[in-house]
Amino acid sequence: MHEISPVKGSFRDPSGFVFHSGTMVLRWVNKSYEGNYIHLMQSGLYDEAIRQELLISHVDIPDEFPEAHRILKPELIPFVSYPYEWCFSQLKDAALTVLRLQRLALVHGMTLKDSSAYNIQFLRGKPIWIDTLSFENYDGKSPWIAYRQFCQHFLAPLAMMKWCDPRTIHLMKSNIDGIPLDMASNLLPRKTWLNFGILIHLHLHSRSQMENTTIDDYRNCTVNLHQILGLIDSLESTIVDLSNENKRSLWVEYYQDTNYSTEAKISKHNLVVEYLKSLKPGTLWDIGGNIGIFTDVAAANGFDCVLLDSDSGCIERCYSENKKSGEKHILPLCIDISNPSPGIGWNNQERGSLSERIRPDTILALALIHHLAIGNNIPMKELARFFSENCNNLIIEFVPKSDSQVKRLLMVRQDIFSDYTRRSFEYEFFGYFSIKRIDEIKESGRILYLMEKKE
Amino acid sequence: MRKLSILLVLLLFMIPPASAYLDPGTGSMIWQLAIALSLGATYTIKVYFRRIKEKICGFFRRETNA
Repeated sequence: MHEISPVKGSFRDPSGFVFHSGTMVLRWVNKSYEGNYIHLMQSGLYDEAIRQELLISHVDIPDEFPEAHRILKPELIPFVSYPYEWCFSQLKDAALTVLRLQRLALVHGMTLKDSSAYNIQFLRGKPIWIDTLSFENYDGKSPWIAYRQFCQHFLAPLAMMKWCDPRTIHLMKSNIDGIPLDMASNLLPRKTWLNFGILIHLHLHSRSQMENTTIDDYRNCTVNLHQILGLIDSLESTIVDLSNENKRSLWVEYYQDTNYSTEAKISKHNLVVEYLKSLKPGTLWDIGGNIGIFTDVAAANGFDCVLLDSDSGCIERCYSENKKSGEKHILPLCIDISNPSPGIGWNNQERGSLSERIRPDTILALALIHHLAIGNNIPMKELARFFSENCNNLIIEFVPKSDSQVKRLLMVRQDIFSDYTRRSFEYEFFGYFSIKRIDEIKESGRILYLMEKKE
Repeated sequence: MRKLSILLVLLLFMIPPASAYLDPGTGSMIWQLAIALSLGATYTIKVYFRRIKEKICGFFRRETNA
């Protein structure tokens, strides 16, 4: 066994922690959790949760640590994402997964002791609970201890995304334990007081937190199984009824508003396919991937893809389409590459920044560079360095100043971008990468490059 | 449901304001107790209704098959 190195965000749970050992990610189970673990495995809960794809599967591995009850090796999550990177439907599906798991746990004599959205990850296109140690034996009379956390991590952000703005999900970055209920209640429009579920689980719930309560009130607090099932049922129907009506998006119709001719579109598509086929399939990020037209192409060629786009409407569309088609190799995430997710939580290390997470083998950066260089004033030198630090293979499209889309960007700003030329682009990028292919996209003036990072 | 919502809003005005430091988690537990009674009852009715509905549907299905 290698030396153990605990994962930085895994320190709150007294039942165990996650750690790295060599290339493996393992879960340490403390002896204090033994009774709960045995019940989880022997009651049928674990098997049923695996069958319903609600819980991550694991295998016991022989360990060399007498202090541990068990060491588990869970199935590996290819890419860790966080709720502030999800679209409305991803958060909604995650919320329903938690409620279904809690219901299943209750009928097997257990309960979820937390309902953190960070315990959900996406695996094969679906949300799944990853914390095997979240289950504890249910005594038949205690309230659901994770009720408030569920409302803060799921119900409040969903309601705000629906009735205020989908971008309010970014408030999760500044509130690591979810949106405070009083804040959500203050920001939501008055009409939400007439939605029964939102009224009781959010507005009145937030008021109840300001009520005077005594130790005796708390001790007398007993809730039977049927009542908790009623609570879960009510939360579930409230969330099922929430639909994403706030579909304003700048970019979702992008492919209806490009300057590509049919010939140019076919040429670009064929070149990207050729480039992808020449690479060994692995992990791929499609940065600024919009609704995932080319991510689909990469996934069809065997790549495990993460689509990053700043527009939640695009992520919503991609996630919904993938759900319908059953596509399992694309994880769409709402990330602005010019301002990616920072490290948050304790010591800024509890939830890793984008740059701290697993980097891809390949990056696809199509029709992106002009937005970064001109739209965000990022110098070419910086862009070349960024891509070289994040991938081994790069498929990148250079869009010249003569292109009508670049002209649109320059229409309302002074052209201070003297280094935005093909020559400067090649000078900076060729410093970090060796060139495998350079092709002109027909009828467009745009250039496509396949590059490989220099040793 | 809308009438019940309005009634609950009116009840809210009867809650006295907070006057000291409180852990919001405790209030949350008490609130859960308060709503669990009615949600539990609704859930029980719903479950029984679903069972009755299934039995009726099953009866007619058998009739049609026969």
